[in-house]
Amino acid sequence: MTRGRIRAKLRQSHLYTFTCFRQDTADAEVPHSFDGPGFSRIVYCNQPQVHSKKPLYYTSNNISTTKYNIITFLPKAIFEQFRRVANLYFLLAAILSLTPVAPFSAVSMIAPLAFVVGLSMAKEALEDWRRFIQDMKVNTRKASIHKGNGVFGFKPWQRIRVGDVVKVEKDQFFPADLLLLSSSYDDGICYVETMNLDGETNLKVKRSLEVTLPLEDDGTFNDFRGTIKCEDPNPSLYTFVGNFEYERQVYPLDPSQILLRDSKLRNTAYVYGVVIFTGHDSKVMQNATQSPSKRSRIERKMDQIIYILFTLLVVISLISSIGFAVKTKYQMPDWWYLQPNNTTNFYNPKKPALSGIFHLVTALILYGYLIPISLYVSIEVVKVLQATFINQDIHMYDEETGNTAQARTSNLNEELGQVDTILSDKTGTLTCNQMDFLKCSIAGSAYGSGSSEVELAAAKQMAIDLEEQGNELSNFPMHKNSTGDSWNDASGLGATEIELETVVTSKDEKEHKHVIKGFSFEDIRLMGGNWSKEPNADVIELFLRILAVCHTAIPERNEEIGGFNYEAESPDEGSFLVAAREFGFEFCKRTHTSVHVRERYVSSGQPVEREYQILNLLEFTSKRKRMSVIVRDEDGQIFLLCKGADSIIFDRLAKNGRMYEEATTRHLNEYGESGLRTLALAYKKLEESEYSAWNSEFMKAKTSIGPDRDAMLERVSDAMERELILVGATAVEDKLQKGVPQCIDKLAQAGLKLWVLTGDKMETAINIGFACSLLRQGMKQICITLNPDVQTQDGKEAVKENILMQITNASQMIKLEKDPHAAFALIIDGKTLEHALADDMKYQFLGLAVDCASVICCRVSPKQKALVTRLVKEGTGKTTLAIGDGANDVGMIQEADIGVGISGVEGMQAVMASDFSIAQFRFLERLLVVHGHWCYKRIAQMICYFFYKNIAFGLTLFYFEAFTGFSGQSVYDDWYMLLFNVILTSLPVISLGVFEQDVSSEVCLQFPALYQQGPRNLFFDWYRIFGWMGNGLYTSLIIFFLNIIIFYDQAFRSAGQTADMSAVGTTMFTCIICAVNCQIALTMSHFTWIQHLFVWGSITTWYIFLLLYGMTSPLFSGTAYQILVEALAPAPMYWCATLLVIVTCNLPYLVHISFQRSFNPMDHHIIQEIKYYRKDVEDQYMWTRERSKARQETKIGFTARVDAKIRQLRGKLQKKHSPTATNVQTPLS
Amino acid sequence: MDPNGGSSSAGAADGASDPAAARRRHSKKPKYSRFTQQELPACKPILTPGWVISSFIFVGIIFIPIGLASLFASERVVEIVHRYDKDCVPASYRNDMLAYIQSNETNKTCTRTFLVPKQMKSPVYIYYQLDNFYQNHRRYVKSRSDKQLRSRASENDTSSCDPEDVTANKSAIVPCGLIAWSLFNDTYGFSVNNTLLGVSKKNIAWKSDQQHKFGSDVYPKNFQSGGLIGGAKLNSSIPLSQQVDLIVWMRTAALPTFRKLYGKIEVDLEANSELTVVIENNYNTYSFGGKKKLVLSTTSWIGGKNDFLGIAYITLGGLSLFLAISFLLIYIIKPRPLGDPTFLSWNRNPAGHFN
Repeated sequence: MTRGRIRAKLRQSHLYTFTCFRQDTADAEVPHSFDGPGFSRIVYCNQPQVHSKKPLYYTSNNISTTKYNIITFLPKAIFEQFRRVANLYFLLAAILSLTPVAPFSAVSMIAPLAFVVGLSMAKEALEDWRRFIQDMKVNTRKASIHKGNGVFGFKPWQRIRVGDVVKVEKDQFFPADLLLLSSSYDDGICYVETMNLDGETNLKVKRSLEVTLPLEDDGTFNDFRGTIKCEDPNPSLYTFVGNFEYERQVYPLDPSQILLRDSKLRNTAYVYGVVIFTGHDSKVMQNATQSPSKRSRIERKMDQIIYILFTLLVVISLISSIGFAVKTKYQMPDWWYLQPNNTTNFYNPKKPALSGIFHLVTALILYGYLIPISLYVSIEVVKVLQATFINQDIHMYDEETGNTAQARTSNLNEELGQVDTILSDKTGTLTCNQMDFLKCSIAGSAYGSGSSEVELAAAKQMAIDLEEQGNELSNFPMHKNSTGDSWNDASGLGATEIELETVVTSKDEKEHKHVIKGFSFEDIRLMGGNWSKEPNADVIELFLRILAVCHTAIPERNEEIGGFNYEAESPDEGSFLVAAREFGFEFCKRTHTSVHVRERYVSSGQPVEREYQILNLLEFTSKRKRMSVIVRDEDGQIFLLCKGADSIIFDRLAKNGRMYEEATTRHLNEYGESGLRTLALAYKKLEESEYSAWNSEFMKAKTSIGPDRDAMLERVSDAMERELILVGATAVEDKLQKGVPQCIDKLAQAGLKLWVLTGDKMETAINIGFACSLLRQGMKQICITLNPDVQTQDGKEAVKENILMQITNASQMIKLEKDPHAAFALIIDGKTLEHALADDMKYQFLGLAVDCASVICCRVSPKQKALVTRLVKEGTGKTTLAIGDGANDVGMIQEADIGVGISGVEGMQAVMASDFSIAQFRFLERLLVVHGHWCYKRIAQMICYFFYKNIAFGLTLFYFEAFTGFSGQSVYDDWYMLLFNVILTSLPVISLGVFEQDVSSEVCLQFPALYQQGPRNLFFDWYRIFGWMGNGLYTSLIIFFLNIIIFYDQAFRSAGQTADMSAVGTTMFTCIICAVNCQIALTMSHFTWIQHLFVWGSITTWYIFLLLYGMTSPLFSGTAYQILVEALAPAPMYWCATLLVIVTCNLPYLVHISFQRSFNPMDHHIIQEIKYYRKDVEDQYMWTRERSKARQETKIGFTARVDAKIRQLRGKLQKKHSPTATNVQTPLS
Repeated sequence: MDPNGGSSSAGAADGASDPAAARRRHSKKPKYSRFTQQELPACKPILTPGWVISSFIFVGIIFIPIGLASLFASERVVEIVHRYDKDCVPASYRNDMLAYIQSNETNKTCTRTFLVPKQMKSPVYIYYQLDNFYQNHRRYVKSRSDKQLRSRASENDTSSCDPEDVTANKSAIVPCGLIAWSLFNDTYGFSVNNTLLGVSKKNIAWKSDQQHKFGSDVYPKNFQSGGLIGGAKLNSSIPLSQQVDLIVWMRTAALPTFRKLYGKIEVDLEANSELTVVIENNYNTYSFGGKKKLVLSTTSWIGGKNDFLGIAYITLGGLSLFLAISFLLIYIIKPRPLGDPTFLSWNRNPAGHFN
């Protein structure tokens, strides 16, 4: 094929100077030689039919993440259910209930179990069904497949087979792991975004083999044949070994030809590829680990309680079976009415031990009511309902993506209320990976009046705080008119005021909407060509020209609006180009050698298209931190235009180029403080001779082959990029997601710690730290990095020692710090982290990190994210929450106690692995502070109450045993007991678990400090648990003994009848039902009609049941026949006893809570009272004041920033007033 | 191509506008309802001092009158309890009461006399009270057949009656089971001042038992005919529904000490009148050391003599009033204004907070 065909559009993909020249790969092109295990895969390209049967049949491209299928569901789900100890116990009990050992009828054991297990299984089935639907969505996505004869057609992903040729278009995901054959670019390269795989946002370049380049349109695939021999499926994302046999030649393959499933094609119109790995064989699926089943802290503690109850159960069973054996041996022979000589083994006085053992089984079943059979199922029901509320929450619905919050697993709801540390990803989570050109500093003057989000948020907070502190600082002229003030001249304060002023004014201008993506610049002085009227118009022109020329982007005509879109390597660059365009320097065309810029505002008035000849391009690398182009303009003058990190550029300025350095530095500091990403722009004029001398050097370096080529190139470039003249600086806002600073601030006020783990480089991470107010001026930054000198000189040990020393020093420093307001930030990069996470150092590292107000880990790999998460989780023993959006966050999402996925972006990996998914980071606040808080309290109260009621009930059975010679007779009818857990007491407790609200959602959000009740575990500590158990014990004693004494031997009616067992049992049971339901009514603080219905309805249900049960045939109801109508209801004694018992049972609890409320009120009590008396409406000042005070001591978030600023200003005020003050600090230093 | 419309896309434009629009079309936006948003109107009662004190006072005011009323009713009840198990055994058998009771030859009749302490208005209920008798033993409780008792058709339904289910020749015992078998068989005859008193057995059994549980067509059969004789024998010509003593006995007691209604005397017993009881002391409680007592008692609206209920009510009512007063004092001495923000934790522990 000829390479010189005329292309309709620019197909030059190469802007990378350092890689411009394809390395001579002649020596590398030796096919890999491999055989044996691990390298058995053979793919016949374009012959998928070969792969439809053995031995070349490979797994289909259908993916399934479900746990069950139709056949395995029953056995597997049942097995899962009976892995729970309690369920297993109930199963055993149910089986035993079929034998005569059982104290109850079989149905009263089996029915609740079947109900409980059935419900849990139904939930499992539902969840699995959802997963199935999710899978189906992916499986039915369409991809364009070669159908033969050079015709491509669409097929669902799941029907793609190994060997298929696939055409993937721009912004589509790759349906399987592909071998890249050719792309829309001439040289077979394509750009791939692997955010879903590793979270890296920069585009990766993939390059096809040269031999397959001619396969560049649909028709050429008609007779394409080839064979790939390669490694077997494995999870390693960055390796690939294989050979490609094509036209009787064998070519080696490496990872750069492999396009991985779930990565996305970017900046490339289309690519052709042949499928190598499908479905679960693909690398990304091989990486997918089964999400571990997580259990909440409360549930784990609940298990311990269940073990305690089991112990209790066994103990009382042993007591009663020993009692039984003793009674049977010594007394039963005298009980002629039992015919002791004519017994079975169950009651054999001659074999008391055997009878005792049988009785032990009976007792274990009988006292089973101590273990609430319905606890698990009630909790499941409650959690599913809670999850539905989370899913339905309209405040967590994102209009843009149309996504709601999703509780993907419902068993962690209450864990949301106990989070201590949040580990967050950056890109896609905190930021939207979009850059907005916001400000610039040109020739020493600052342009751009827009404010970054964090400034706006801080300004708002400041206004509130100042209002409040207005009394103390009455002479403090704040955002109100500050003109003519006595100390207006103080330079530092002046700056602050300007800042505040801009903030306030820009708030007013907020209505003005800018619709241009990547451009939020607001300053009339530069817009619409006005810049030419500025004093430094020539510098401004130069500045804008640098923006328009010094880059590597490609313009793309947008037919709809007639403008250009830019395909840039990084979003920063894109925003520069957009800015330049808006200022009138529209970059419109790029050729191999030149850049065309259409200038709108020239003196002639007519737009002029200028051509800049690109002579050289010195590429940006993270090491160089700068890029330059050398251009020749139309006048033949040669310029070096350079943009780069400010520190780097400032080092390279010429003596006469430092004119604006001071002003620019000040502006840069301001920008940095506002969390903006800054770059400095500089240029230099070159003489022809100077350039050509350098160029020959450069060419020599470029064409050299060998290991020191890169070093040489760098040296040569470095020599050129010197003696620069500073033009100005840009400030780009790494657009935070909506509401992120506010959310972080609230979370910090709620006492949560936030760690940022990002794959980005340190500078970016720090910028974002500033933008999110995780960092601020005046915070001491502790950077732990590898010392390059140590690294090269000595071995690993020395490196480690060095890091350890840094950690110890930093810890020392924190310890010695006296200022209570001092805040520290720890910043560490991935390479250092590798050492810091080693076993012998990790706890020192953790100790340091915990002492710091904010922790930022940059350049971390997905695995390190998971390791850090594990370290925090295990090291601090507190609940961790990991939040992220990409596949690189999957590890940490799975590792953390709670994983939250951001569902706004397209990739689903993080969401699939997560426990909760939300559309935006800001919803985390509501998820934790409202739902988490509620769910925690609800579940905690619910579990406590559950144990209470079952102890209250179960123990009465035991007491009664003592009066029946431990024979295993229960005083209650079987049906009562069956209904106790399933119907009569379950609904109120479920309503408690679903609807209880100590305070409303608004209050939760207004008083983030309330959240701390969860992490401090105030509602589920052992004190409280044992308190409730004690209450249960007390209730059981009262219920049993009061009733026994009242009904001891006397007639209970005026007609003289004495109470028989059923009358006593029914009265006792009535007491239990009423007492526990009244108890729950006392526990609740929020009654909607539902709670009323359930609580009072349960009591009513009991009477209705008793009535109806008494009306059934006496063969069915037995001794309960007509018991209510005939025996109990007409007897005043029955009602008197019930009332007495109910009141006696609940009195201590009432006293307890009344006492607690009067002397030791908790925060929510007081807020309830304030709300109750509508004090918040009457005394708004107090309400606002309390709201602003209700924070945990926090050193991060913009509130802390405002506090720090106020402190600083106040300090200055004092200095100002004291005559000795000489040195007024600027607030920025 | 990039379908990015509307906005000039910079750099990594993600082309999200189109899919977003598509998604918006089938929007998942939750519908607003007060229920799903957890904003249902709710009453949020809180325990204000007013509520606490008035509820305690309320309990006090309700409970003390009830307690007084029931105590008063209990005081009005006249009760005579007479233990006769030992006294009715002739002195010669005192050392071997078991032999006495088990022997067929011994004379079981025993006459006891006592004074009526206060006037007893009719009806005077006659109870027998057994002690240490485990009528609530599981083996005992289960040993009956409700089906058999109810209808003649289920006469052979004796499977649950073990060990007293069938005779040696496998014919069903009616009524079967240990409960019926061990039917109490002491009898009492009363006379006051030497005039014989009739003992009425009317209405001593629950009506529902007589009408629905014990069949009128079921007659005792093979009862007490085996080698072991338990308690009373039944007249096989009277249907079970009329065997009131059996019906009362079959309602098993909850505790090992229990009273069962024997009958009632439907005349008033004057104070200080001499009551003579002729007891047929047949029932064996001697083997397990159980006491037997004869009880004569009148009733009130709360039933028999039951001081406990009244005392409990008065105690609880008193306690409530005491608590009401204590809380009142507490609120007076150390008041905490409701909704006073100074008690919020961040105001109580300002340490560490910024100002």
